[in-house]
This record gives sequence, C-alpha cells and structure tokens, in this order.
Amino acid sequence: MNIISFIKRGEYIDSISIMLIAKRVAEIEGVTDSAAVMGTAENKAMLKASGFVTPEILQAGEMDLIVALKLRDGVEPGSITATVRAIFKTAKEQDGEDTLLPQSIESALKTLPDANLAMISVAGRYAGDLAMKSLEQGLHVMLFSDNVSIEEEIELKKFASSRHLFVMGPDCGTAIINGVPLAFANVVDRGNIGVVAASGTGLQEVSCLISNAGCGISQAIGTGGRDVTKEVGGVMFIEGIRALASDPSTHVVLLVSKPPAAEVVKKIVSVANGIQKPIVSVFLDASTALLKDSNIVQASTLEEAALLSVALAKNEDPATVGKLLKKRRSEIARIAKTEAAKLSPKQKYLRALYSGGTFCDEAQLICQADLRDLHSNTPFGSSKKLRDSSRSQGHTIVDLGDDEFTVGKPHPMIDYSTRNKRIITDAEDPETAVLLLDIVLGYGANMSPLDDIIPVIQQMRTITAHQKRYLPVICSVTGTDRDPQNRSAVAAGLQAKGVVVMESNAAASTLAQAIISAKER
Amino acid sequence: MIRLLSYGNQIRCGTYRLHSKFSSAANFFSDDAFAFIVEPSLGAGPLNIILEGTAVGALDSLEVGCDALYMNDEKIPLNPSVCYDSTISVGEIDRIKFKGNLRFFEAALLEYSPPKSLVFLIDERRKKEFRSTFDFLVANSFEEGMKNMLAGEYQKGSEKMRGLGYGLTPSGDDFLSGFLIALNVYQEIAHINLAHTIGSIVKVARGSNDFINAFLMCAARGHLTEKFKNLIRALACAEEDEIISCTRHVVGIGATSGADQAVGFLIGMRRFGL
Amino acid sequence: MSQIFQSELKVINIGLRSFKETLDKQNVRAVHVDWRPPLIVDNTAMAVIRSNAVRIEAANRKALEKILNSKPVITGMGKALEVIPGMKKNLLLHAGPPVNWQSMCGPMRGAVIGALMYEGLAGDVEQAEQIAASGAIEFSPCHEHAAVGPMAGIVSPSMPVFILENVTYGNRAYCTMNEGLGKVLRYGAYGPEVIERLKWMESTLYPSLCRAIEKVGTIDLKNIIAQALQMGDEVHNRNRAATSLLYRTLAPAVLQTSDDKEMAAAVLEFINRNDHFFLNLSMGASKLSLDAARNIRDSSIVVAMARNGTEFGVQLSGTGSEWFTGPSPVPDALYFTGFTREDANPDIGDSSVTETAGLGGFAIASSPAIVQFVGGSTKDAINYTLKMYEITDAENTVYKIPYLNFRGTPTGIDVIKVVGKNILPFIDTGVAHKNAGIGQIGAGVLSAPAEPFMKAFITFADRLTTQKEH
Repeated sequence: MNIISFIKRGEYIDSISIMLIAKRVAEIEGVTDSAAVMGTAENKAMLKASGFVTPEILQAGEMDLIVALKLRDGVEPGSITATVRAIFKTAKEQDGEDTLLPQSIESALKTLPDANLAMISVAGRYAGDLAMKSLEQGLHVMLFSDNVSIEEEIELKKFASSRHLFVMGPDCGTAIINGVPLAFANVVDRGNIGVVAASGTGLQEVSCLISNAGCGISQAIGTGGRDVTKEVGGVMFIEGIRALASDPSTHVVLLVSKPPAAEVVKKIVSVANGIQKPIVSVFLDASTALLKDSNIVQASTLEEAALLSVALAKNEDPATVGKLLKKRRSEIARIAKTEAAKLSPKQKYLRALYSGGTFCDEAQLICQADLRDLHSNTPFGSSKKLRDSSRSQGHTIVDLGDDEFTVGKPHPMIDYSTRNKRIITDAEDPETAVLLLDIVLGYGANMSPLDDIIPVIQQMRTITAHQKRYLPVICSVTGTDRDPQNRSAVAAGLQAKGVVVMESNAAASTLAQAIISAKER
Repeated sequence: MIRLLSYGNQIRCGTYRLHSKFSSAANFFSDDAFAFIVEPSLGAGPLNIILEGTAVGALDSLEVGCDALYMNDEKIPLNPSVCYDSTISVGEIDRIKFKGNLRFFEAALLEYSPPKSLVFLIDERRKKEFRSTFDFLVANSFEEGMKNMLAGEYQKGSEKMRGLGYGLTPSGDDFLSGFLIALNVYQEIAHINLAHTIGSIVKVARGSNDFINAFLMCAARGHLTEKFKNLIRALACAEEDEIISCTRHVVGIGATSGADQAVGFLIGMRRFGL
Repeated sequence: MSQIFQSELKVINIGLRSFKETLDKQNVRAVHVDWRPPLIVDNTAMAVIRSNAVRIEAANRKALEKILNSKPVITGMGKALEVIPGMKKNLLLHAGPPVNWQSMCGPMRGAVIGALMYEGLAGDVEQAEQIAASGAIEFSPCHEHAAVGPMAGIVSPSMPVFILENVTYGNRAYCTMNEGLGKVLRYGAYGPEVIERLKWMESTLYPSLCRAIEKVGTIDLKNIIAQALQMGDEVHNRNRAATSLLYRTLAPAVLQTSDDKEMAAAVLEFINRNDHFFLNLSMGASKLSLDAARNIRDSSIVVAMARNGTEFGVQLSGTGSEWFTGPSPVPDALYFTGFTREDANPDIGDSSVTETAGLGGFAIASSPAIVQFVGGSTKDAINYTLKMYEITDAENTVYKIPYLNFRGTPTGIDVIKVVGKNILPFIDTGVAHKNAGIGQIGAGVLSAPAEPFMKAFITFADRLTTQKEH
C-alpha cells in the first residue's frame, strides 16, 4: 500500500474549500482512503492512528493543511499528484470567485491567458466566425457545431494549418486530447495508440475497444466527417497523422473514417509511407487498391482495427487477431443457430435501429455479405434507399441520428424516445426476426440508459409473447467501466432482460446477420 | 468612500497585519489579537468589522486607534452607535420556556445541518457519513469526548476534542466554543458563577494557535456573534418559526463550524438538564 | 501542431455549458464564455471588416489617443449668440439627433415654449406654440454646434454658456449652467418661476461667475472629474463631489470679485444647493474630448450618443456627421412616489455623452451610491462597468476606478464590438415626465437601443467597401 501526502503551507484556505478538497480527493480513482485536515497535534495523532505516516505529516504545523491519501496497489502516485494539485488550484480559485463571466474570447483569455483550445458548440451560422477569432488568438479549435458551410470549413482549415493549429470539426462530436475526453467522449485509459478519426462514433468505438482490451489512447483527434471529402482535401486528417507521427507518446497510429475521397487516400498513403510507426486503418469499404502499396495495415471493421492496433502496441503478431476473430465467428454461428430455432416461419427480416451513424454504415457493410435486399435511410454500399425512413421495409438498417430524425430534438444517443417508438413498431411486425440496437455511453450521452430502455424491452416482450413469438434483441454497448454510466452495469442490466449484449458493433451485426442466414437455411 | 456599518466591542487597538483572506472575510492580526473584516452577510461579531463601499478583498492593512480605523490610507471614525455589543444580555430567561424552545432548536439543527458535521453526536444515523479510517477514528474520539463532557469530566473531554477534526478551525474547537457559550448562558439562567468550570476548559482547549484561540476566548468570556446572540434571544423569548430561522443562520456559518458550535451548545445545555 | 500534446490542456468553452461542467469534473482548467449571437449576422460585412482590420485598428488607436490626450478646461463664459458657432437669433439648439417641432416629445416642446418666452419672442404659451410650429424658428442639435445640453438640452441665443477649451487640440465646447432640480426648463417646465430663474441666472449668476473665472484663470475639468470618481461620482447621475470641488475652486474668487455680499452669497448658495451643477460641465468636457476624435477615416469609435426624447442617435468617428437613429427606449427606473413607468418619457438628453467618453454608466463601479438609488447592488455596479470593457477599445489613463484597483474607466465605444458581441452601452440617467413641465420623476438605468448601432455598423462596413474600390 502506498501512502502519499501533501502539505499546503502559508496559505489559508477557508473551511468550505477544505471540505470540498476532502470530498474531491476521496473521489479520485485509485484512492482507497483519505483525509484533508489542518495539522493540529490531535489531527496528526489521529492520522497516525489511521495509518497515515509520512515525514511531511510529522513536520506539518497546526496552520498547515494536510491532505493524506492511501493508494490502491499498483496505482502510480504521479498521476494522482497531478490530480490533487489541480483540486487545490480549483478550490483556491473558487475562493475569489467572480460572478461575471467573460463575454468574448478576448476577455476569456484575460481570465485564462494560456488557454490553448476553444471548444465551440454554438449554432452553426455563428460558429465559423468564432472559430476564426479563436484561431487568430492562437487557439486550437474543436468545432462541435454542425451546419457550418463547406466554404467556411475550407477557409478555417487553410488558415489553421498556416498557423500550425488544429481545427477539429465542424460536426466533431468527440476527441481525446492529453487524456481529456472532450464533448461526447468516453473515459478511456491513456496509452500509446493515437487515433485520427473523421467519424465520431467510430472514434468512440475504437477508443473504448482499445481501452477494454487493456491498452490505451495517447491522443484521439476528430476532424469532422467532411474533412476527407475531395473539397476539403483531408487537410486536418493529414495534419493529425503528422502530429501523431511526431508525438513521442504515440507508438501506433490508427486511422478511422468512412471512405475518404480517392485524392485524400492518395495523400494519406504518401504521408504514411514516410512514417516509421505502425499504422492501422479502417475506412469502411474504401477501395483497397489505393492502399495496396502502402505500409498501412487495413482492417475491415472498427473492432478489427482496434484489435490490430492493440496487438501492434503490445508488439504481438497481428495474425493473432485473425485467429481470435475466426474463433469468435464460430461461436457466433452457434448462438445464431439456437436463436434461429426459436423463430416462427413468418419471421424473416433484420431490423437494426441505430443511434450511431458509423455503426449503421458498418452494419450495412457486414450484412451485405450475406443478406440481399437491404434498406436504409442512409444507404451504404449496395443498400437501397428506404421508401419511407419512418417505416421498415424488408431488411432495414436505419440511422436514427440522421438529420431527418433529429430536427428540433436531442440526438438519439441522449433521448431514446424516437427509437423506443420504433422498437415497438418493429416488434409488432410479425416479419421482424431480429432487433439490432446500439447503446453509446460516455459524457454527453444518456446518463441513465437502462431507465430509458428497459421498460420498452419489457413492453416489446409482452407484445411478442401475446402473439406467441420470440424476438431476439442484440445490442452493442460502446463504453468503458470508467464512463459515468459504467459499461458492465449497463450490459448486465440488458442481459437480465434477455438482451444479447456483444462486445462490439461488428460482433453484434455479425450475429444478427447470422441468425437471419441460419433461419433461411 | 468607505462607511463603517458595524464593529465589535472586543477589537483591541493596534497595528494589524493581514493573516488570511477569503471571499467573504479578511482576517487581520496583531500579536495574538485578531480582527476580522467581513461581508455584511456574515453578520456582526465581537471581533468583526463590517464596511460598505469597499470589497473585503481590496484591503491589505488595518490600524485600530481609540476612535478611528485606518485602512488603505483612509481614516474611518469609530462611531459608537455602530459598535456591536456582543454580550449575552438578553435579560431574565425563563428556564421552562427556554428548555421547551431547545427542542425546536434541536429539530432545526438536525434538519438543516451539513452531513459531515458533529450533528452525528445527537443523531447516531449520521455516523455513516464518516467513512474513511481517519473519519471513523475522529468520530469515535468525539463520542468519547462528548460522554466526558456530559459527565462533567471537562478536562478529559476537552483533551479529546480540542484541535480535532475538519475545517480551518477544527470541529472539536468549534464544539468547545459552543459548549463555553452554553456555560455562559447557563450562568444567566441559573444566576450562578461557572468561572471555575469555564477556566478549566479554556486551560485545556487553548493551544498555540492564536487564530483558533481568538474564537475560543470570545466564547469563554461570553462574547457572541450576532447570529448566535439572535439564536439565544430567540430561545429565550421567541416562537418556533424564529428559532428555526435563527438556527439556520447559525448552521450556515462556515462549512460545518456553525453546526459544530451549535452541537457544542446543545450538549452544554444537556449537561445542565435543559 | 503537436505542441498542445506537451502542454496542459486549458479550454475556453463557448456554447453548451455542460461541456464546461464535464471539464470541471476532470479538473481541467476551463473558462465558459457567456456568449450571445451578434446583433447582425452578415458574413460579408464581417469579412470586409476582418480584411480591413489593420486599418481600422490604426484609425481607432488614433481616435483613442485623441480622446485620452484631450485636456478640457473652462476658459470663460459668454452669451450663446456671441460664442456658439452658427448660433442665430431664430435658432434653438436641442438635445439628441435632429428633430422637428411635430416630432418633439412633451418635455422638449415645453422647453422650447419656455425658451421662446424667456427670449421674449412669445408672450404666452399659445403664441409660443404657434411660432414654434410656423417655421420661423429653426431647430438644430446641440451636438452640431459644439454644444451639449442635459434632458431637453435647449440652448437659446441669450443664454449664458460656459466656454470650454481642449488645451491639447484647441477645439471648443459650450454648455449652459445647470438650473437645479424641480420645475426647470430642461424637463420642459415653462412657468413664470422657471423664466424668472433663467433671468436671474443671466443677470446675476452669469456675471458673477464670469468675473470669478477670469480671476481664477482656467479651471481644469479633467482634474476635477478624476478626483470626483475617487469620491463616489460617476459624473452623470451623481455630481455631488465634482460640484463640491468646483465650488471650492470658485468660492474665494466669487467673493473677491463681488462688492455685493448678499449677491455673492446667493450665487454660492445656488451652486451649493444644486448637486448637479457640475453635470453640464462633465458633459461639456466629454464632448470636447470626443469632438477631437471626429472624422478619422476608418475609425469605428462612437463619438456621440444622444437622445431627443423620441429617437436615440449615434455618430461614428469614421462616418462624419451622419446620425444613425432608432426609437429611444424608456429607462428601467425607480420612480419617485406617485409616478409610474406610464408617466415616463422615452430616454432624453445629451448627457449620454458622458458614457460615450467612458464616464457615467461606464464608470458606475465608482459610484455604488447611484446603483442603490436605482435599485441595484454594488455588485451590479461593478458588473456593469466590467461589461463595458468588452465593447471599448481603451482604458482611461486619468479617470480611474478605486474599487477595480484603479483600473481606467472603459473608454472608446467600438461599434464593431457592440454589434459583434451584442453588448449595448449602459447608461444611467434621470427620467423625465412625458408631459411638459412636470420634471424629473425618477432615475434609472438602460441599455442603449440596438438599432442605431446596427445602422452605424452597416454604413461603416459599406464605406469600407466603397473606399476599397476607389
């Protein structure tokens, strides 16, 4: 057991702040026991009796504040020290709090002169101007806002790269910079895999899978989906790759995107060829020919990309990933067979209801291998466009996060109501054979997903039981156990209601497709 | 232009230096004497100075003369009409009514006090807030100390309490100052002299920390803050609503200081069968 | 580019507040910006302004230099007709942007009636109204004659005025003597006692002060204002300290230059009883500084904000003599007993020239007493002033606020900032009854209306484009 202590000498902190510090240090992950008190002789004696003994504590005076911590075995004191320092700092600042917030970037910079990132989430038509102002002040920009015109995007990114600054976005939902998850991001472990992603959900999926597989993320740079189009030309995607190439804490570079424009792929390849670090890519169905002569390891699913990166980061043979996935396919086939046997003859179709756009694309890609006549509101590959986005038709894979569903409503990752209604509609359809869902956790997402989805699963079960059918529900849960919602808890809650929870969207899609195929045979 | 709204009657003359500064108080010291320049929301007190027309944070120096304050090169006359009388002086207290009113006070204290305060001493269930090893040991020591105080073993009890616990002024010291206030109030109720008891507690409780001593000595001499004085007055002659309101004001002092002091006061009253 | 990976992440958050809260939970240093959409979303105008940023900045720097370096002093007094440029026997000057008799509000009409009777041009009210409506009398804004006037701001040919001079740049400004509170001409009163007082001011006060000023030499207004700010004035709604300082300067000279003790006492008592005696001078001093910064090409600095009780007008340094106007709002005020918002006239007077020069509402953190008067807290006063730093280009080098560690008052309103940040200038002011002759019915605060600033911004951007094409 490791004991560390901090002494605040010579600066008095009022009681309310001391209590706040005590509460915050107790909440630090990896701290098993703690105390934050003034160094009176009596308190010191009591600290000693509690097993806190360090030379600093012994020397503390009665007007010094002592913060003493016991760390869980294996926890590095280094990162804890930084966290405690930050807690001191914020407690101190609250002391002299000023209620008037700055009203512009310039005056915010007076409050925080060494700020280095502007996070912009105002309505799109104002966002471009604010982003430009931020860049002019030398700030990197994360542009969460969408509806920024492509002309503005090009102007911003050109200007940014001339100043050696990042513009993440527009429509960049997530990023992880220096271990800090920004906007919609998951709490993942830090590590040596760096990610550049033109897909928000894709970034969340790979970073969680990497973290859950025991590795971690050094940096994850979002670029916004439009960056890899011909018009924008992959400016930030390329800058991201370069930045990761020169980042000493990044050992493996992982590229995530929907198929980039051919010109952009060419640029990526030429940059990648000059980089010594291993590079993995998942471009979802991008023409593989373009990547043939590069040193980029290609993956066909987000999951495979994550696992390949992990293998490379651990200096393992990438071939193990292939074996692992093969083994799992046979397991999936086994589950599929049992599930298919429970279906009635009328149940024929896959119904996938997604909140994550990239998941919807990936599922279409996976299912196209075996299922014909696939429909989507956002058709990908050989899928056909749904006649009516609000109604399923044959095999249907729908993205409920697409603009047509979200006008004037929160995103379906936050507000489940649109999908919940759709679950009931599809459950009532006697031809529905499999329901495929995704749940995305992390900051910004629905904070109590089980409360919102369990009732509808139960309602669905009542409907199908009444009609003497069984309807399998398959779900992937993107997240980690350190997310505020806790992935294990969410998965367990779903499993308790008979939902088959898979570790990735790729696995969930493969299973869904396998059930349909098994039924057809 | 700075205007003096209130100054305590226990402030000593002298040239003070800045001790510490918080969002609503600037604390000054001169040898072992203290004076506190506080926001109006904190209320008057035996050592408090309340000003209008300046921010507490803007002050760096303080000189107290016999008829004026000097701060940041400005002279502010000490107008006797705004001198705060911190003595208990609430007149005759009816023992029966006071005892009855203490129940309202106790109920309000339980309802409005912060979780991690000494209120667990009068409500066992609150002990669950004390989770870490340190918390647990501290809580046990407080329980022992309280038993001693209730049994009249003041020296033993004070030894267990003093300097112990959370906050800038440790909870135990807040408790003891509340207890000392109770003794002073009881002197008024029962018309007896408890100087010896008070002296024996102070002897133990007084440490080498002048900042804490300043609070303890005020309590020992029967000098109360405006908020506590209002509470005593309400207990002596007001109805439930006002007692609740006064209790809330006391409990609102500091993080747990007010609540800890209030518990000390209540236990002190219990010692005398009230 | 990868430098950010090596440094501690510190974030400025604009938009969703929850993102800042998430960062707080992770102990990341972050500041949330209380952002509001700009008044005008015109990307072309913004682009024009951005591409001319260097020129605008240089022009504004020049304007500010002039405002800050100006040194207003009183040099003497004279009759309006004799000293004010362009003054004529049939001309009346008024507050705010141009307005004709038909559009004038109640108090301004009242003041016109009073002035015509004072001048002997009309015998009674009816006659005065007739003359005013006939076209025989011309009306012109004070601002266009190097003058300023509080409330109705009427200056008539026979009125005595102070002559102010800018020692640094040589320009002059003129203002009348303040009549005091109660039934007074500037609030539109025109009863016999009003006219009588004006006559007394002309026959007794004026010669007496004239002699006294001559004796003193020049009176440094900048110095008086700077001191008054340390004494709780913001020299718009509170002039108690400044008036006292002026009184101290004048009193010995008034006595020395008078052989009639009773008269000297009456003169001094008149100033002594009127806490606002200095107001006209603080306005004149502000006008003098701002006029020095007029007509600087490409400058987006506001050189006039003035209200005529109907409209609120704005002028910019870079757009010459053009007025940009919009309806004048009714201040948010505390009303004296017996009056309500229903009785209030829309905001009126040239006194917002003080705000334009970085005083008044912009310096309200110096004057907590005023905020209390209008129903706010000291904290509000400080926040009002702090907010004004967002829309100004400089901090005053002489006018300083004790509470803000002697930070200079926010000076030099930049119309680009007003529109871009959607923060409107803050004015603290007296409120006139909407009917002539009733007088002041309250005091309050208001934000300037958006419309004049939007119009000014658009014209300013247009001029930049056309200039570019030449």
